[in-house]
Amino acid sequence: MLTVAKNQFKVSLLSIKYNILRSMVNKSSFLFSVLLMFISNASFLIQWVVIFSVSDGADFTMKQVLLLWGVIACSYGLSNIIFGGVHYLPEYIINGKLDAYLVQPKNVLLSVMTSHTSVSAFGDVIYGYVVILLASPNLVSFMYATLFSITGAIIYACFIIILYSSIFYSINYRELVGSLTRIPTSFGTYPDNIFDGVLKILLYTIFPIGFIVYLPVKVLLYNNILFAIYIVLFALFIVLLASTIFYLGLKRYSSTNLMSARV
Amino acid sequence: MNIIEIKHLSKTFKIKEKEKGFIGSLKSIFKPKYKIKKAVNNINLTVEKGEILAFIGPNGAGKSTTIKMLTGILMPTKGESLVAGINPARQRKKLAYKIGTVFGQKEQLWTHLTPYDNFKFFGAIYDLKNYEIDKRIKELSDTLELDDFINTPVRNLSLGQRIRCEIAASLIHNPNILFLDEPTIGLDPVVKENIRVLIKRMNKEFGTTIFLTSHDVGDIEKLCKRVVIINDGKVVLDDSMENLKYHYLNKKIVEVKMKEKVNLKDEEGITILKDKGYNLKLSIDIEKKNITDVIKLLNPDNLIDINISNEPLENIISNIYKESKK
Repeated sequence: MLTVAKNQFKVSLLSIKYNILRSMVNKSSFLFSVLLMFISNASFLIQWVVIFSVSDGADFTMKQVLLLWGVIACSYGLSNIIFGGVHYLPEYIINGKLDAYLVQPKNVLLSVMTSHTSVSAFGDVIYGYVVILLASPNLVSFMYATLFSITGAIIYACFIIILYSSIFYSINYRELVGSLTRIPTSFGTYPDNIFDGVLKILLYTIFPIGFIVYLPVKVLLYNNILFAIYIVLFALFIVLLASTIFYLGLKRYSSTNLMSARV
Repeated sequence: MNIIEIKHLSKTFKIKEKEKGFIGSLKSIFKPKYKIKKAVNNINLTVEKGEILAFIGPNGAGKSTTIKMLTGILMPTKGESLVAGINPARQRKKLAYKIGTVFGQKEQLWTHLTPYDNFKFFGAIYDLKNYEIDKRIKELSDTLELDDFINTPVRNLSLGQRIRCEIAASLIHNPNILFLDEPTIGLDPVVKENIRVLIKRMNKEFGTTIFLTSHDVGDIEKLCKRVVIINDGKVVLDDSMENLKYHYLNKKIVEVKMKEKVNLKDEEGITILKDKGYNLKLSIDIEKKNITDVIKLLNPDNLIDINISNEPLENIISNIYKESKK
């Protein structure tokens, strides 16, 4: 069992390594993409600076906003570096590209997840760490930031897997679930203080932004270790849930005979 | 010893049907219509260890669906199969160590990596140790003649070179069975011939069982000793290549060049394929008319040249397809 896990881990790492090598083939393009993503993220903070300069009554602070942006950027970025393949799931399912993974003696879901890497995601991660350490420059924050980047990346990737697994049942869901995958990044950059009622419940359940961003920010602000435990437990739960839903859907996979290449 | 056993294997697909045009699209949203397509219908088959089997049929016959069920890609609707003693529907990962697959229409290799890096990656997938992978790459490189381009990115390889690399990647773990789904599709005659030689060599040197689907009669004729023809999801013929030729070669093609024109018309056992005055091309059913009678009809003194040949295998197979449709 341990050997199987070790071999699977080795293959996943190798896949990520090759993805990163591919991203870096064109060095100038790689560096430019990273820099552009950094600048793009930074530009959004300007709007918050403007908001804080005209409004004193907000029940959240600039530090909270910085941490929000930092945590979401790290989670989203790390997810797209390690598990970038989840965004290709619709293509894999619809165009029969899962065939290549199904004939290999490895975990199909992990193979798919680690099959792609987004170049610009490196910019997200660098930006995330810079902003978190700007807001809270200490070793504990750095360690928490690392932990929550990992849990956030896992939760975000699993959320997308759950949504895209619906395509096994009907390809008509593609557009709908494609829109829903953008929810975490849309809501995750605003403090949860501004949401209440049903919406807040949704953000801590069906759309697990609470566990990707809101609770991690609370831990970074108030050093609440209990919340950190909740986050890790939720990450484990969603891994099991996403895996179960994906493999249930995989039984309905019908493949195709379309010509295709692995690029 | 049977390495593949297929019992009552069936696969049905539920396919959405849409009326034409925009209105049809709208209707299909609110009132979708489906039809059930039996892609594979109650197939029974066994393949012996070390055999090269041609599994052929027209487009949509169910060849690829069958291969996909045998390799664990698709779940059967009914029936079961044992490949190297393993049920593909239940033990996909265990089976993957025993089989190799090459889908001519789908690339498994990473195009930005070199064949060497790809082989390293595939070796890791099959849990081989580094020294084992290197040893295997050397063997495959020698057998499949990959040395000249093993360090060139796959995207820069010709189609023939890429297919050779696909085959090498699928053999990295030394599988017992190799499933080849149209491996020579799109290749020129020289490369096709090279691939055939390589497949034969693999079968001989490594004892690999080959399960081949192809539309290319040359692949079938030159590689396989046994032919299974499938149409509409059913096996319509399972015979040795020798028997296939013997039983179905009751037609001869006779081409003659004559001194004077002969007034010959279609009659029982004789079909005129081409009539260009002094040159005739006839199809003779030797069960109804023997060749001597045909020559007498044409008058032996009138003949300048005569060529008698077997009906091409392509025609035989195509006739079997047509007959199985009836």
